Amino acid sequence: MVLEVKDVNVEINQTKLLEDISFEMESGTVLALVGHNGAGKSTLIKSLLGILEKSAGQIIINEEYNQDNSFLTFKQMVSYLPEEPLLLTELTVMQHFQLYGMSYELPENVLKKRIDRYVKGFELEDKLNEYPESLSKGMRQKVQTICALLPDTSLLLIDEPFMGLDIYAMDYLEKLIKEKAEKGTSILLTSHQLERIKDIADHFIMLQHGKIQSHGPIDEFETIQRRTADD
Amino acid sequence: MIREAPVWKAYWFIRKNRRRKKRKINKIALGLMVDKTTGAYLLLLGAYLFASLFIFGDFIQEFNPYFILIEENLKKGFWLILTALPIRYIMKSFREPGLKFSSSEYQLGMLPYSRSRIWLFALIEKWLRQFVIYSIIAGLVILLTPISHSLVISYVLLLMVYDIMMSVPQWRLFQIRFLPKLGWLLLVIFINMFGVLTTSPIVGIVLFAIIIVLNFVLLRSLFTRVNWSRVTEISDYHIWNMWLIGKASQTKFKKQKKYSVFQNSMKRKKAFHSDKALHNRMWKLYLAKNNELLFQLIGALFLMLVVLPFINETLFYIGLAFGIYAYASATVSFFSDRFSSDILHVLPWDLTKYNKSFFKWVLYGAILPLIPIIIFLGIHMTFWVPLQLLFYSSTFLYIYDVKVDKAMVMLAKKPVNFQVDESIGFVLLILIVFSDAYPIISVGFIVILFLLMKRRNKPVL
Repeated sequence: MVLEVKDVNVEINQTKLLEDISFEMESGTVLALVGHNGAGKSTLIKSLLGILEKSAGQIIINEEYNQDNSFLTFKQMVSYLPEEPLLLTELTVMQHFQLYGMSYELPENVLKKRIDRYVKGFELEDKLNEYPESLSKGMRQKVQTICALLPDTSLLLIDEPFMGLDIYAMDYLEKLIKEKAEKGTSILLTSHQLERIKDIADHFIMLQHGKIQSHGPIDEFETIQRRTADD
Repeated sequence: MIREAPVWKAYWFIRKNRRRKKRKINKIALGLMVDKTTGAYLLLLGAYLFASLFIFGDFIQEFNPYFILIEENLKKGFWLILTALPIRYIMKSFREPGLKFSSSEYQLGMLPYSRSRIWLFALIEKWLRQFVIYSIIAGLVILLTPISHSLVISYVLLLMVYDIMMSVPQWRLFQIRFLPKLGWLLLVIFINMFGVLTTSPIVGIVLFAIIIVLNFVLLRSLFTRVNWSRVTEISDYHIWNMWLIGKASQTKFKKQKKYSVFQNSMKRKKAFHSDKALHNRMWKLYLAKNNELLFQLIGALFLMLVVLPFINETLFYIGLAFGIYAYASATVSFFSDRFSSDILHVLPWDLTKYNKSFFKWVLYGAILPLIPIIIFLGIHMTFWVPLQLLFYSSTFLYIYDVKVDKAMVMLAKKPVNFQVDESIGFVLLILIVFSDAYPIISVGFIVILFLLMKRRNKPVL
């Protein structure tokens, strides 16, 4: 089991943002987190990442690394693609890739090979020496996407990956996500692009008001979605 | 013919709503901090204090001799102040453009309104506000002190005229790079020195005339090569950094930093040749973003260590112990804070490597506070002084080491137990205080180094 989430609760100012969230992920699976705005998708991702403190529950990665007492190792095993790019104004695109390479201890030749490939795929060849604010929103999203895809982690957390990307970049990213999953990375992603999610994911979890409303194989998603709409 | 929309109406609309929003936020913050009953008592207390000090008592009259002295100096130094005032605006141009042109005003310029006219309105508004502030202060000075009316009014006029005359130079200076700006500052300081030496009003008058000519010259290039991003960033910060909100929420408003001084050189655009260079840059960026806090910390420690020997020598040693503790605590806070913001928050951390690269900056920061310590010990030179210096340095290293280890363990979310090490640190600080009376204590640096080595051999992570 790559990820075990057991009874996770998140509270801020006595408001429950997540309540009794439990699920598991096996190696190489893609799990889609779906739900309306404010359902708790991004909150769950942030608590999985350790950015947001949970008030109860446990998050364990690779069956032995608990977020509560092996945080540094835990972080090394998780990569994150945020909804809004977190790029630094003072680093160029290339320097961002280097920062990720260094943080995840990627060998130089592997890093170089991956940068070359992704940069070509996302058509960023002439932007490597640019600073983030001179790039368009879509370009910044592409840079952040490459950053998150560079390392080989056990778990990849992706928050709204297709937002701001053009149709070609979306297709390319979809291909890369599938490829990562085939190589054994477990991927948890949120998106409002339900058609695309159905193509990529194996399972889904539907969140509502911070609770798991339903879950199951992605094939059942449409039925549940229809039932929810009828209700 | 297309008629241009009235700019002042749009500008006024934004200003009115900004004021309304700020008032609303302040009201909420005030409501959080003070309830109605406490507010009423505070008002009563304020009124009582005012009445007892200014109405029933002779509080102000007790200071009359001082006011007369101030008046004499103000009269004597009028021409000198006339020459010195531009320095204030040049110094300010390192930090701010001289008027508040926020992102809202900038956005307004994207609508069918002239940006230059919006800029002018912002400037006029600033002048009016300054005039009101100066008038209120002058009114109070005239009402409460015996300083002559004509002198107060002439100073108000002097400040007002300089506020107006230096607006354009400050705006243009803000847009240029650091070194030319520094050049202008040094030039004006040089002119001032000349003024002080000659004590002639001519220097001030000539400088004033030059500023008037400069205004006409600079008006032509007022909006060429303007860094609007930086102007709006700083203006937004000044507008929304509200004192009451900071107090109520216990948070410090940070600048957004869309602009960075670390961007424009080709050298900085090059890929990093090593992990060390990358770490180094990450710290440099973080420290530059927090430069204000850093300068405050280092400046306060420096001043404390300069002033204390003049009061009492024992106090100097207490200050030294306090300084070592404060500097170690503050630098470690910076270290921890680095991992809770921006991209680094979500990345894995090799804390040991980050600590190694950070330590270099800790040492750089210690150079300034070290100067008064060395001078003080140099003046009181004995056989013990080198050993004392070693003792103080090793104490700092020990306390820093314990604190940074504790911070790293907390960042790694591991159980924290540093009570023994922290207690040793406190004992060492107390020993510093007594190291003046019993200099033999300073031999203890050997023990500290031994403890440090022992700690280093047992990494906490």
